[in-house]
Amino acid sequence: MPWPALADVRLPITAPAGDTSVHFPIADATVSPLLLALLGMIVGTMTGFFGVGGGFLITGGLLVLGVPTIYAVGTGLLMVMGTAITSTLRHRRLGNVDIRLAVLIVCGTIPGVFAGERVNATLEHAGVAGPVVGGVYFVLLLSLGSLMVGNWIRQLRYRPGPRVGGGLPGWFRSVRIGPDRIRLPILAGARFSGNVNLRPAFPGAGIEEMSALVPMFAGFTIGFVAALLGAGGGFLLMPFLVYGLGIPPAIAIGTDLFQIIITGSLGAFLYSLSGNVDPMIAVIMFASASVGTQLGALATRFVNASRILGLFGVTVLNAGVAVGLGQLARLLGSGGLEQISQILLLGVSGAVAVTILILLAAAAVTQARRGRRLSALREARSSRRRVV
Amino acid sequence: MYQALSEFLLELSRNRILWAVCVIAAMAVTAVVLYFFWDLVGRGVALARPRGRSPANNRSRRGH
Repeated sequence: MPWPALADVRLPITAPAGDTSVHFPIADATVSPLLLALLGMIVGTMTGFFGVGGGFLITGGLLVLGVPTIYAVGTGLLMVMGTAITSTLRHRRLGNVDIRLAVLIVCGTIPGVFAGERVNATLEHAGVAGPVVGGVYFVLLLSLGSLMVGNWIRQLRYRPGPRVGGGLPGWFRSVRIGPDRIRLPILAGARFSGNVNLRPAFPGAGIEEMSALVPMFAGFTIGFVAALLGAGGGFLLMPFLVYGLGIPPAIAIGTDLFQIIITGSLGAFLYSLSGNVDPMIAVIMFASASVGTQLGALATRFVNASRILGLFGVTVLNAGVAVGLGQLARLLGSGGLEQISQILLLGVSGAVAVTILILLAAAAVTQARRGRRLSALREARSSRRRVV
Repeated sequence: MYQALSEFLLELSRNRILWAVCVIAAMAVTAVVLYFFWDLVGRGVALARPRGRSPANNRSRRGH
């Protein structure tokens, strides 16, 4: 069974069926479409704003709503793919996607996903997949969340953030792996010399020169870890692009989403082959998520980049705490603690999504006021001219 | 109608490869259609909004 990560981390909790509940025969679950739409809206807003697929949120949310674990993971991956497609199209239009960088990352991601899936299957066979995956998830989310929240607090105190010229971004950009240029005689023709530059520029991401192998290795590692954990990998790639390569957050989000399309599609395809995906649940959630995605992507134009990273850090840190509580609940066999972890995961994420929408609304109001003030000034000037 | 749709999906899910391809294709098509739908909605809203006095508008008015 591929991608069982979250299946082992959480136990299914059946939500009380209300009047609006509908039976979904493929997943054999009775869920309210309104609650599915609400969950989709939260996930969509987070996806558009942060550039993560939201796999950990969707799966956790579906489990809270009473969808069987294996269907929650499979349907979650299908949703991740859909939201990533919409968000990438939106970010591409805003000029936030560096296609060259994204394609190189994807070249590494695909073999990484298959390698991760094999390791996962081996761990599953040995009967240790649950604790290993849960532990890796907990450590990764907690350390990434702490790093991002720490950086955000430093920025709030007016201390410089990650430097592009030096530090980690400087090292990644200057590192030399193998030759800078290779000649492929097989490709040499009238229109192509056969020379391939292995240190290309990435103008969209603002990188003058970097080894093509750096994003490929990063893609492989992220694909491997994502397949091991059963997620899209956005929560890993986004921090790597921002802190590792020093790319502006908006460009990192757009480029990261392009990679999520590939990991999401591969995962969803593997799950569909096993018949563990309910497309009806996915479509209901996706329809509402598309609204959130548009609003989230629009919000990145108005909201300060450091706020994006700060809110993302809080979400990741919260997910880490929720996964840790889930693990503890499993060890102690406590259903109540498990429920608290699920509610924490969705509650804080919902609060972050609402905060994003409030920030967007505030920016829209400020812009409208500025526009009104400007037109009043122009009106006053033209009336003065008329008097003269 | 919902019952018929459920039965159709259950029937389709028996052929695993066809099912997987259909599920992925349906989601990809839905994603692209929804993107263009919201794009059109956005453009419609922008067109319907009363135009402010931009410098370009002022120039054209002065010309008259």
